[in-house]
Amino acid sequence: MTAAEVPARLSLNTVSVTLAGSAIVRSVTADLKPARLVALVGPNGAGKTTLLRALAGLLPMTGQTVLDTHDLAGMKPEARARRMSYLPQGHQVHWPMRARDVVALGRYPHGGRDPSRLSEEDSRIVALAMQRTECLSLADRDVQTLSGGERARVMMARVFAVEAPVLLADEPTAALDPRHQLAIIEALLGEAERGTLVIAVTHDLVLASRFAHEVLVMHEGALAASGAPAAVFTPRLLADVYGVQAATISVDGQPVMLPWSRT
Amino acid sequence: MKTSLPKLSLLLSLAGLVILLSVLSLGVGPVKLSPAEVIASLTRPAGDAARVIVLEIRLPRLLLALGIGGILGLSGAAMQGLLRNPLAAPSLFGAPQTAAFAAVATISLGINDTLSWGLPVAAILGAFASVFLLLAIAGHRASLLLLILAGLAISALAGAGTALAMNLAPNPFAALEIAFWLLGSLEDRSMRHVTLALPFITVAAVILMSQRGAFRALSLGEEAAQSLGIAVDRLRLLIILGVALGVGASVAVAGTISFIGLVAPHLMRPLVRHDPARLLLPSALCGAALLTAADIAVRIIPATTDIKVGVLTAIIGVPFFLWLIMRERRSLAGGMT
Repeated sequence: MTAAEVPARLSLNTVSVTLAGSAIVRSVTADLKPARLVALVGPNGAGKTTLLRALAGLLPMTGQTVLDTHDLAGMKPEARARRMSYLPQGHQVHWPMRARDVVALGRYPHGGRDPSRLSEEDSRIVALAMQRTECLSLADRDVQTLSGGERARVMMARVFAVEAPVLLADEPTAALDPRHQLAIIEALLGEAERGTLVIAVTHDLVLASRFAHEVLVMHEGALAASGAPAAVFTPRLLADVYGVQAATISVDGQPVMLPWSRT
Repeated sequence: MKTSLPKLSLLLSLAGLVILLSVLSLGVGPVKLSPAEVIASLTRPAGDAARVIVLEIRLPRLLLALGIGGILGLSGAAMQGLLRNPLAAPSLFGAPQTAAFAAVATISLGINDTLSWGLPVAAILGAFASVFLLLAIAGHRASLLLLILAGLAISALAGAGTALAMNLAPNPFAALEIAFWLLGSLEDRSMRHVTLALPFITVAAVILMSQRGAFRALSLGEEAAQSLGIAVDRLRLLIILGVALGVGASVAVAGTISFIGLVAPHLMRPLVRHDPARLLLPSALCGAALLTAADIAVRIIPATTDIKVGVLTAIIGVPFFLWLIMRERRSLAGGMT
């Protein structure tokens, strides 16, 4: 079963998350189609990461998340893990492990518990994932010795190796140089082209407006706007949500919002 | 599910070492027996002196050294896997300290003496109590930090309770008895101690071994592990319970034996390429070998009074621990994260 074979539609119905008594995510409703790169944006504290973590099953939430016809709430952890992969921030690895073994952990929900005894099918998927993030040449390196950019590619391959129809990534381009940022975005776009619904939290409005098929803008826990980047990213929205005045520039005929000063 | 056992050659060499030490252990003591004599004694008729020495005096001691050393090594590896930290020890959540307190309290109250049947029962109950206390304080879905803080508090409380029990001991002999019991020893233990401790140790080993695959996914952090389908809350509970059972039973029959749980996983880690799942079995074998060797050493080292095996493991273990910290410091200074 590969991601491309089972594209899935994800519906969020009044999803809310309350942490320690305060409502962090408030009644988010959205319908997300497969084979799309969705950028989840919003100022710090808007609830983006919390929403993403709730979708990944890491936080208790109310409301419904339905993947095709399956309610995620009733799913066993392993079954859920096969349908939703999650890339946390930080890319931490606590023991010295080979890059290939880290990527192989993506096969864990499919029964590939031991990186050195993967089935042929699992090995093929792991190699393919590493190829797609251009880190096959790092396979035998210890991840703890890799640079930030190299490690980001290995961790992305780990999430690809899950082959889940929905991929959740928390700030995948943070702390990367521009070239690595583009490489990661291109890899995510490639994953979307294979049929996966990719939801990525980002603060990079330029990357979001350029590459995302759809953006979800969160503001104070609620969904402030959603739709195609060109329709959503207006000077007015940026002023309302981010409190910044933005300049609109045009690159290759494509409008790009550039936050310029505080309002 | 696929298994994740380490290389057979490593396991076989460790098992060989354990067997060698076992034969030596059966031969060492006031009456010295060569390995051939040890084996020959097993075929002698009941009542034969050599047979009595080997089967009734030294075999229980050996079985306890193997079981306790093994479960300490296994618990250490599991704790280090759960916490993703090479400095974690089985005593972190307070089970051995609470078990020791419960045992000591019964000595102080005059209910038990150090070799009686009731003492290990009290200690095992104490270890159970520490788990319930930990969960009552931290809650079922507690974070690791909260569990560590609660464990620290429980350890400190149990330590204070132990001090109080010695303080209130009815006579100086009871206080001395407590002090010596706390040092940790395998002397004069009988098959009754073995039959009491081994079932708990076995259950603990099964629980800890059954979770080994999860430690590998935990290398990526708790969130990533959970997103891969591991119920991290449940895993934490199982490890806490397994460690409390195994280490509690160990304290119950042998007193406090420190540092084996910390040292054994470290010795084995480079041999399994730092794989936290594969580390468990070699750590258990290494722990068994270390404690058996230490228990042989206390019988060989000439001293006016018996040196307790718990003292010996600490004397060797602490410098090793210091070296570990220094090595960690060096690697931290070297820019590794």
